[in-house]
Amino acid sequence: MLRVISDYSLWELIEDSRQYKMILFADEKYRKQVRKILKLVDVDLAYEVSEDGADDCCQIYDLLYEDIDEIMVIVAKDDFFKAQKTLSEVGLQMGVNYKNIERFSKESNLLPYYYDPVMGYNLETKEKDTAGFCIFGDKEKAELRILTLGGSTTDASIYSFKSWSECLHEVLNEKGISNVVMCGGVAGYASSEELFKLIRDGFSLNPDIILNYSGVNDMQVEEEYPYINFYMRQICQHLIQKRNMNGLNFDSHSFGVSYGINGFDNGELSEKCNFWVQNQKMIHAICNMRNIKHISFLQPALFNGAKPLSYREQSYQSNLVYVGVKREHKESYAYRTKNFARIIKETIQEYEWIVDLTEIFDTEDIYIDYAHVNERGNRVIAEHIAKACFG
Amino acid sequence: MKPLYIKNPLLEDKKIVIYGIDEKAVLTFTTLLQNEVYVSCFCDPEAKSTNLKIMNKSVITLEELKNCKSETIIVIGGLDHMNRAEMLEQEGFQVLYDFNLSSYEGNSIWVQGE
Repeated sequence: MLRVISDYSLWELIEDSRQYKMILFADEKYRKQVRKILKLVDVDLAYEVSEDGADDCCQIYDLLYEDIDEIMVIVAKDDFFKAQKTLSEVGLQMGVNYKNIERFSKESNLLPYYYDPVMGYNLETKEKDTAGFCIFGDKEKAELRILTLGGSTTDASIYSFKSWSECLHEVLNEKGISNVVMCGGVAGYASSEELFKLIRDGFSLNPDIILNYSGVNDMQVEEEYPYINFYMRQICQHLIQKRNMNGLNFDSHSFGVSYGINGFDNGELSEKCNFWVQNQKMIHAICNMRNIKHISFLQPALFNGAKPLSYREQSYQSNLVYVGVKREHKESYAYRTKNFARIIKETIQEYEWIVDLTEIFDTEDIYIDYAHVNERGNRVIAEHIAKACFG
Repeated sequence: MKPLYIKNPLLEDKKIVIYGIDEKAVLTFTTLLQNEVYVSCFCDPEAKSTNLKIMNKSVITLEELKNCKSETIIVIGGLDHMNRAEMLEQEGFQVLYDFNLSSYEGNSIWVQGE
């Protein structure tokens, strides 16, 4: 069995070792080699823990004596879900106190994703009447109902720290504005999913204001049939392989997959920019029709602003060869990110309801990676959004 | 310059320094890491002293490198630094090269279970 430590994971592990006491929780068969690799990158292990009473390892329960804010457990196990259960039983949180060596990131994944026939997938939240939305505030009593949409940089369930939607709720509270923020951001969503989610679910929540925060994911939409979500493509491919669907006329027809009409000529960057702008315009038009205030925000990203970089941000840029969801070459990704922002900025000047946030960060350490920001960053975003909405 | 063979006996008991701090240098590092070769540091050919670490390794200047010439092997990756590397060799450094980096997928590494 092989375990892959990806580009980002190796970098994040090294960065964590500068801050935390590193502890290894690995299957016996991986221990020796992981130890060796860590030694080669000068990462010191404080000790190792195991469930099987190995002589050179401490017990899992020894972690209870640790200050959990100071430790990071590296998990290298075939059965990660079992390890997750064991570590949560001793009070540790994924992405905060322990990370999977194969996806060594700050992601806590507080909610599961479920397949969704319209958007491809959606967040599975407990409340049926707000399915797919994380709620900040009292939706019954709040005087102002705000709905937020976007991708992973808006998703309130990925990280253990506060999302910009939660920060926005707090910022408005501090201003004495009674509000509820209903966050529909989902990792991987592009502007098309924002549009679909708004039409299908968003209006049912009776929002007073709708805010979209996005851009980066539209750079990554497919070169053909951009409205078809990548998970939905997988589902369709799976279904035609199974050929077990029944229904009206289906028995006597061959059954394939239709993605409709391809909306792109060539899928080049300028088309993707236009795709984002057109979707924002459609969202705005529907909101106007329903007399709901709407503002779109072009999001900042590590490669599209003029921000002076912190040590960690410089380290990210220097150490990673491939970045982004599709592991694109760094130079090419940076070039495309800058151009994407430039083209959109030129286009949106005439729309006062599209706000450019690409230059909002100063010298602080903000970016976790190419687009995601820490809680401080989310607070800054929320402050700018609050200002754009309420002055 | 000699080609880099990962199990090169020359590498044993020597201080391995990767020449450059660019993407090719990072890929060279990953190649060596995957093959369990310990790298001491990177050398910045622009001779800028920096606090930034690459893959947790210090970045030193060429001047600093000259102080430990006899116990050092310089490894270069890609063709970009070839001329400089030849000059280093003329200055008495042992230089190994690995131009075959295209097969390497970024800086991901594999951990094989025993």
